[in-house]
Amino acid sequence: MINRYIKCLIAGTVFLTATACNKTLDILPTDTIVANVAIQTMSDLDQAVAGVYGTLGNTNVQYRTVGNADIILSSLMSDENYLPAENVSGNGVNMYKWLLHPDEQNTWANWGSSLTPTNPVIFTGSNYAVIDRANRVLRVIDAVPTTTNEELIRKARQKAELLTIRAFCHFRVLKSYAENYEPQSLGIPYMESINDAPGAVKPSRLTVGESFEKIESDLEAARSIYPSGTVTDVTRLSKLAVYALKARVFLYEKKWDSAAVAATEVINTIPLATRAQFPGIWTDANNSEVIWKLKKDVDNDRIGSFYRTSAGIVEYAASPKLVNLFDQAADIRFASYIKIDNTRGNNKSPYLVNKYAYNTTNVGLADLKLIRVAEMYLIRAEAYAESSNAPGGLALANSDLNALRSARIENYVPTSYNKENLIDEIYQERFKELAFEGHRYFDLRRRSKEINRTPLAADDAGGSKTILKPTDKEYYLPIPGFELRANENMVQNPLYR
Amino acid sequence: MGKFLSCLLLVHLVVLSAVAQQRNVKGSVISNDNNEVLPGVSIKVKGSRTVTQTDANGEFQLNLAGSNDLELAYVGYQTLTIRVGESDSFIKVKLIPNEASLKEVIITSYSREKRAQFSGAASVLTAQQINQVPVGSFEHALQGQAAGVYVTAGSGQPGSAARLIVRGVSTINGSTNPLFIVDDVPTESTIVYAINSADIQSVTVLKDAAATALYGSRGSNGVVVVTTKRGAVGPLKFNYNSQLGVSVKNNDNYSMMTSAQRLQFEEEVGLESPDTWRSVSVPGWNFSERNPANLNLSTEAKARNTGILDSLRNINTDWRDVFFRNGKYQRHNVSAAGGSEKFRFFSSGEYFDQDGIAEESYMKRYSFRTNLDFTEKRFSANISLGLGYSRTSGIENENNSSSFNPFASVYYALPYEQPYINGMLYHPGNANSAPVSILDQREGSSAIERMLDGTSSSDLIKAMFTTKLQYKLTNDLYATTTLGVDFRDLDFIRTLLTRPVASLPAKLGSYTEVVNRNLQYVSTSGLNYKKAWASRHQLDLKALFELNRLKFKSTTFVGNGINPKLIGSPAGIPNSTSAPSMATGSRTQSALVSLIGLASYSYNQKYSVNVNYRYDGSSVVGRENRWTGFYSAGLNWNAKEENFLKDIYFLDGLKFRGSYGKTGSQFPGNFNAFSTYETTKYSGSTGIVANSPGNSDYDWEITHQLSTGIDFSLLKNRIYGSFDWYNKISSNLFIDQPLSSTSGFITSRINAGKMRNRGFEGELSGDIVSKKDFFLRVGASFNYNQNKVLDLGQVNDFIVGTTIVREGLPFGTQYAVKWAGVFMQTGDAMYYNRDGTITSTYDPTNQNVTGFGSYIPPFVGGFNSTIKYKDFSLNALFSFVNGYYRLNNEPLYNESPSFATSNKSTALLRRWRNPGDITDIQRYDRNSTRRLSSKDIEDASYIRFRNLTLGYTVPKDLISKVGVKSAMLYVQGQNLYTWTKWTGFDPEDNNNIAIFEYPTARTFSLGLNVNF
Repeated sequence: MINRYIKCLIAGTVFLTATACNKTLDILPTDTIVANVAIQTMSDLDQAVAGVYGTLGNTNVQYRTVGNADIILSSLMSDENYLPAENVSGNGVNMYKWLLHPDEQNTWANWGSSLTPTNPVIFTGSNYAVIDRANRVLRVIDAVPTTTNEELIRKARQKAELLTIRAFCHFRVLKSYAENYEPQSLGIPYMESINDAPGAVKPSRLTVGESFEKIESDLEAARSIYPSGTVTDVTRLSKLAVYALKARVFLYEKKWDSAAVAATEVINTIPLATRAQFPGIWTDANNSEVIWKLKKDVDNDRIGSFYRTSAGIVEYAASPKLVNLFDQAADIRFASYIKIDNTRGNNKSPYLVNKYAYNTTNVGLADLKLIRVAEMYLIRAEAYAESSNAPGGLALANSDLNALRSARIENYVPTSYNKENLIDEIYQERFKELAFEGHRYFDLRRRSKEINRTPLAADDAGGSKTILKPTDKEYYLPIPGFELRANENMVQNPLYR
Repeated sequence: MGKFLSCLLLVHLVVLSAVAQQRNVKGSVISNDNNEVLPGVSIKVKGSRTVTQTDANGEFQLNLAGSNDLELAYVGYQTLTIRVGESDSFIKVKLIPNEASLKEVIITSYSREKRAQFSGAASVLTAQQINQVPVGSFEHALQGQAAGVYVTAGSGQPGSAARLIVRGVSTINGSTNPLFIVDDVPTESTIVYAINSADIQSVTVLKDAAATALYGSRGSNGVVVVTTKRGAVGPLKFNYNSQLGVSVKNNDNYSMMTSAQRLQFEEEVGLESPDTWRSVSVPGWNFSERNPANLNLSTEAKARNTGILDSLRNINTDWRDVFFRNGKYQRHNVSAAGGSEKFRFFSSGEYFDQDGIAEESYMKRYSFRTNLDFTEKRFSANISLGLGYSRTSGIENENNSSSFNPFASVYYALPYEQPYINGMLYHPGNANSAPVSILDQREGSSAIERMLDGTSSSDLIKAMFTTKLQYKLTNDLYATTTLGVDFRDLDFIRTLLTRPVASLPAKLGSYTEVVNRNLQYVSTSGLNYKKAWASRHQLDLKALFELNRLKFKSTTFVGNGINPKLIGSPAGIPNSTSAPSMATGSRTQSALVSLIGLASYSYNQKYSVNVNYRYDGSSVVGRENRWTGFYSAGLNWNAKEENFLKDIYFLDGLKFRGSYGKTGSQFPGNFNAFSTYETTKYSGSTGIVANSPGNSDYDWEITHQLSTGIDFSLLKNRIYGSFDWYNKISSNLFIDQPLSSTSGFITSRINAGKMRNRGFEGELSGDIVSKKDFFLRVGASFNYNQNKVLDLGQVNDFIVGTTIVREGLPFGTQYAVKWAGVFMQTGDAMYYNRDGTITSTYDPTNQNVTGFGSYIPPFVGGFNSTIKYKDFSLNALFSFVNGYYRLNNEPLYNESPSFATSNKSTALLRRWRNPGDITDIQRYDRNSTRRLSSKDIEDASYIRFRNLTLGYTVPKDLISKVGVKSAMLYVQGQNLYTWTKWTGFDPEDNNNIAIFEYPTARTFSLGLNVNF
């Protein structure tokens, strides 16, 4: 009797183990979707593409996000801003003082992130993370079934968007970390596929020329599959944005003719904002002349807080150099970009960056304007001025510059400049028009111009240096230390070796 | 020899039978707490030489004449004397587990073994070592008392968990927490502060493979087995224990500037490098008569300036007085226990209330426990029901450099800052409306304001229920089943009130609630075969099937714009569009299925073998690696039982142990094997995005351990010692492989690498004096552990915080730029390059080196002494940690010119000022950046006077009249003094980097313990 009991028990145990156990152990994640079933329908795909845009808003280094990294980098490195004494948080201070080294977190902003002693939190956002997420969707996008023609078109557009984002992010990495912008110099790794063993991903750097080729090729692929028809949603990348990005890329490559052609596509489609519309761009009241902007939600990181914290501390103020460039009364841009507040008291900077102040309820919450038509005028002006074989290029260039100035400055009297002066004028105009939009530092690098912060503000708490020359190591950004340690194929920029 | 003895015995029996009328008396002996039969109990007829033992069924026979007293002795149980009457022919005896000799029993959830026959390594703490220690979370009481267990407090917050490391760190990224088992049920090791320590009967820490392989894939970090008190047969017993006390700040090596020093410093720096104060407002320079800007002032203005400086100099706020307080402590505990043969109970209730030494920090606990035991013929049931409710309140931004952290503001706030003016707090929000102009940055006041306007408290409900059933199928075979639940609901509530900042539109208050629920249940069922034969063989076999299931959920919601009159309730959330609310949460679960086999065989109590096997299947590894077998084998040789040692009179016990086995490690994360997507959003639409690349090869972390030990007692058991040597190799380590950013991810969790912990541990105690009225015992326990990373697989060495994980070095090795002093000519901070040259350039990537020790101490332990004189007793316990090097992040803030308006360390008074100055403090100006270097790695080794208890047992004749059986009055001090070179508030911590932590408190209490 007992033996039977034991036998039953053993048989029961074995049975339980064999069948029930394995079932018990088949537990799937409850908070996440397993990758192989994540993108199966068009509706999944819609979500996945939105998700890639969303990663541009992910936190990158400290309080940066991937989307605004360019803006902050440029503000800290160039002469747009200064560090007022009231910034006691230390936020960005090392970079502002040009104390750069491969383990300085601020220099990582456009590359990636790592664990650090002072920041044990892993920030997942990076340009390469956005690229990876786009590549993951691109890997499966062709297999997503479509039933209607509308879906087919939508899918084509989404594929084009992903390719454009991929090119856009690589371009941001390239202009930050390239040795310099000469074709034979060290460029960046270009990621076009996914390796399911991420530990095996150890790419080497292409040359700058090769990197540009890849960017161009993705942009061209996107252009060729973008369905025709206008899309009004400026929070998403459009065919027009591809042209705009091409113009920008060609400008860096000094492919003047191509830059002018691409910029023309945009200029001919979208007009400059009127003086009445202009302030509304910055409060997101209208989308005049916006080609692409990154939408921000209430709970997102706020770009405005970088300049002025939610507690009202001005951590980075507009530089007197920039403030002085404006005709404050006549230039419609001045009030939208900068606010002079003399009521803040002693030892407090009056020069507030107003571009992202937004409104009083959600201070500092503004969408990131990533591409605007105004930039196209300036690109084309510079391209025409440099273009040797375009007859009358100089006149065309002057006319583009005058068109922009007339739109911005009341009673502006059009002026003609010779080539040399014209380039300087275009640079000055870029400085003003595109201030705090992540261009200044890279514009200076494009033509190896020194970064000169004089005149200094009275309460500038910056470093000992006021001028950074292209021969200085700190003029360039180092490849982050963690990248060099994780990837033996990576090489450091020469000046940092 | 043995034969000779039995012959002798036989002769005696024959002789006895000749003298008196003999009759045969039979009996059986069982354990009082679970009704298991007890084989091998020695039974002695008093006044004669007759001795016998119970057989495998716990039964014995004796030939007796007349009435006799029998003395029953068994390891781990109280020795019992019973009277057998002339007419008794069958007696049934229950032995009561002995608290004092509990150390002789090793308890696991699957077995209860006599130490004499146990081949594993374990440390046992008994009730009196735990019950009265004034800490919120009982595991702190293990500090310095269990050899091989490093117990360290992370925070002085009442109720915070200690970190336990058993025989060294054997993981890089996994958890080092041992598995906690309370009354046979696994419980979360980090949240045990709802358990009443006075209910604890014993804590057993299982250390080697023979002991931990029972727990298979969860055994690598050691196992802490807690049993609670149970009722015993006998009259009802009541106990009341009460403590009243106070917690105060411990001794520290704190040295920040006083007002006079700070003002002088401001003036001097102004003279040395006026640029430093450019656009920073510091009164010591602004109003200085030596400031060139003040040279042309009128005499009255100069006098006014001097007056201002004088009044500032006289303020001298000691911020320690502001942020530290004396915390009240009280605790009341009542229990009742008793029962009959069939039914026994233990029931207790507790109120615990401890205030932290920081304002707003406290812990309260109400706990209840009822343990029931029932026996009826072949059936027995043991039921444990424990329920605890605990409320804790914490400080702002603990362990953070934020100035809202009171322990940071203690350093930051200027001595000439006066937070209250005419009883009103002036903080940055209202400083402009102060009646006098404020010349400091209000850092301290801002922390006070946040303390008053913010709350962060947690409600914890924890329930632990166990039912253990046993049925005796035959004389040798038992069926057992254990069902248990560990339930935890932790509700964290944070409110932040509207702060009136004049210059800003009213900032909205917020209400945050995080609700975490953790449910773990376990069921273990199987058969137990016990057999003893020929009076020398003992066999115990067990086959069990176990299911472990864990479910966790977390819900967070944040409401903004709360009504300040409805603080503490979500009803205060308006849910308006201008102040939107947020909700989020998570869920996770896991399952573990196991087949367990245990075998132990003992020959003649001399040789014992323990073999364990456990086949674990888990939901959290990759499918291919799902099922893994774990095992151990142990040998035990009770050498004292050998004939050649039996006669050595001074040796009372000698035992050798050895074991080898394989265990696994607990998993961080339940779904690491999967490549997954999570939800996100963009521009008003929902989205999904890849959040983990996954790793389908994800496997277990495995530890193989070899352990040998020796236990001995000498000179009538007055000297007791136990020493162990072990070699623990952990492989398949979870490593966060740092990835190239180009992969789109930062790290990937893989199994690679090997680590070794090799060490020596021991306990030694001696009763120096053991007289009737005077007793003195001294004891010590220690662990010396050498950790070494043997292999990191494909992974290059990598940096974790300020430490490096590198082959050949111990885990936790500090990695920093080597400090080379201050350059005499310029006052620059100098650093060593790797080639030994010295430079002023700071470049961690190319300069970081090792050689500054590790933050995991190799040598830890404790020593204690007990003195009893008549009715007085005095217990002292010290614990020590040696070779403990931590990174002190605090000087970076307290010496850096980057935070010029905060108070500075007095170290800056000896800064470099002129060429030729020889000092260790670099020049102080805006271009002299204070950086982290080897200078900041400090020796945090310490000896701490952990506990001192002076007790007085009230004489019986005084109290018996009022019906009290025994009463004891005691005073105790916890963490009385710390000897250390560390410069912060507290060297003890559970991590590497010191950054304004909540220091451990010094607690004095007065206690009363009454039994009636």
